[in-house]
Amino acid sequence: MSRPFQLRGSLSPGWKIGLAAGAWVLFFAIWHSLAVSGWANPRLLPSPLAVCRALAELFAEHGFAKDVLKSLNRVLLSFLIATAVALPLGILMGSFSVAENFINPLVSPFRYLPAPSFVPLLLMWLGTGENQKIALLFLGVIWFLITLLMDNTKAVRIELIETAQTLGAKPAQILRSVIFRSALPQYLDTLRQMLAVSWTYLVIAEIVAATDGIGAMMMRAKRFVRVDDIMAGILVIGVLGFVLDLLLRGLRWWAFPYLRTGKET
Amino acid sequence: MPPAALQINDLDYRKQSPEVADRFRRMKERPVVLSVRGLEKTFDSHEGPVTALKGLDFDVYRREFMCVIGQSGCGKSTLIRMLAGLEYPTEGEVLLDGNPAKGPCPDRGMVFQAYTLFPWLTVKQNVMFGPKMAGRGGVELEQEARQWIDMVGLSKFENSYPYQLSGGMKQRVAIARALANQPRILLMDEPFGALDAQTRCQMQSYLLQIWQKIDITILFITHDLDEAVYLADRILVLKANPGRIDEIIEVPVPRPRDMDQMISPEFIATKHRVNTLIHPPTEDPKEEKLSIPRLTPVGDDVD
Repeated sequence: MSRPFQLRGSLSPGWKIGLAAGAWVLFFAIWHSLAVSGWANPRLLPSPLAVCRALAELFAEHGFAKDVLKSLNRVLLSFLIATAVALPLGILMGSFSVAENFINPLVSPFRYLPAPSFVPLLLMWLGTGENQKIALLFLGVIWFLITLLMDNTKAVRIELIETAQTLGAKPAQILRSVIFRSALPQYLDTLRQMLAVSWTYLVIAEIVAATDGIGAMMMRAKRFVRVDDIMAGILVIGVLGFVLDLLLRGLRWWAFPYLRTGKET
Repeated sequence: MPPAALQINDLDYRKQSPEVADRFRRMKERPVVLSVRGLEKTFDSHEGPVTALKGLDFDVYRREFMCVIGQSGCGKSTLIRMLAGLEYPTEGEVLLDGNPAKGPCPDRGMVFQAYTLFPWLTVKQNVMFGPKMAGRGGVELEQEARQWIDMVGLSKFENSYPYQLSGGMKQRVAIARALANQPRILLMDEPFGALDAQTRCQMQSYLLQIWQKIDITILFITHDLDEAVYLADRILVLKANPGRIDEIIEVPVPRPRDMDQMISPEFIATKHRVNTLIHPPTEDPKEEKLSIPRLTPVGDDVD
């Protein structure tokens, strides 16, 4: 039974869907009425419908699909490289104090350096090509990925490791069959959350010296004050991020049937 | 109140019937599986080194059921963790079949108080974990695993995940998983401590049935007096600060055991003895009284 207005009350699925849809309807309604009321300059605040028209036009007449694929490719490739580096490091650091105490003092401070501050350096080292963009996206997530994956590894219950030891498992077997396997759902959660962060660096990577990609399109649109195109770009980034998030949630649900209980064990 | 309780002090827990005495004689003729020699453990703390256990010496015979009991903080868990090889002794050694036992090894199986089934594995996969780590596999292993699961009465649940099981069922799987490795000794660290009273009684009876049927020696840690007397051949009572052996009691209650024996004179005498060892009478009886002012009207008494 739904108790929507009780402290910490529970909600039925119908209520949840209704509330989520309601929030979006309200958002678009306010946007639309602001745009058509004449209160804001329509050049700077196009209506939602105008943005949809601009989006359709971008795909139909300006080859926007190529930009979208390019951006998607940059985010996924850089993220794949970052995961390939961070996962082994995180597992080692979360499992062996020696690795943690050697690598963490080096990695931790880098988290406080904003990745965009490396852009001038990357431009000089790697030029204006694809490598520079991949490198920026990589730098944007790698430090957080390493520390978060390390924390996931350390969160594996010590009792499970000790049980495996008393059952005769060797350290290499425990790393693979207990620590990695036990933390796998949490690794996936971390990757899903950091993938969202990766999208936030995409526009920065594509603002500087880029000719293609969603960000480059948005910068061109800015020059011609095409606010509807800019908003269409934002919309696409949002939708792509959301779809990837859903895919990874689906993967989690499919791959870990023992977590489908609602309560974590 | 049973009449036996009235004459508790007249009962001697050391008096054994001829059958029980004969059982202990035969038990001690069996080879020693586990021996503990001069075992000592010192931890470093902020206030300097703390001795958790000191000068422990005892033997466990093949197919013996030994319980270790003591107040919290007497080093029970430290002891069993050293026996399992999860912690290293500061002094002394643990011998298994006469050979020094160092580090964890499938020869010494362990069942923990906390639930330790691997949540991503089914019941059957959990039971097969140990043999698989030893490089075994195939249909033969699966069949063997089924037998162990069958023995703890969970055949219907072989493909269930741990989250689908109750607490008692989880611990039964944990026992089956430890036994599937065919260890020389099964170490149990308060395995039923987290279960409700009724499930706990059921588990004690299951454990005795398993122990009777297969070639296994059990060392069982508990803080529950009834549990210790009901299960054990001998009870090793630990004293705290530092943890050391107080007495090793031979339980005079005949086997096979059942719950009805809990009011037999032997049972009560043994329980009484263990109780006085681990809860010695306080020197100052005032310590047990709380000083609470009367907050109810005169005459409104509940006695």
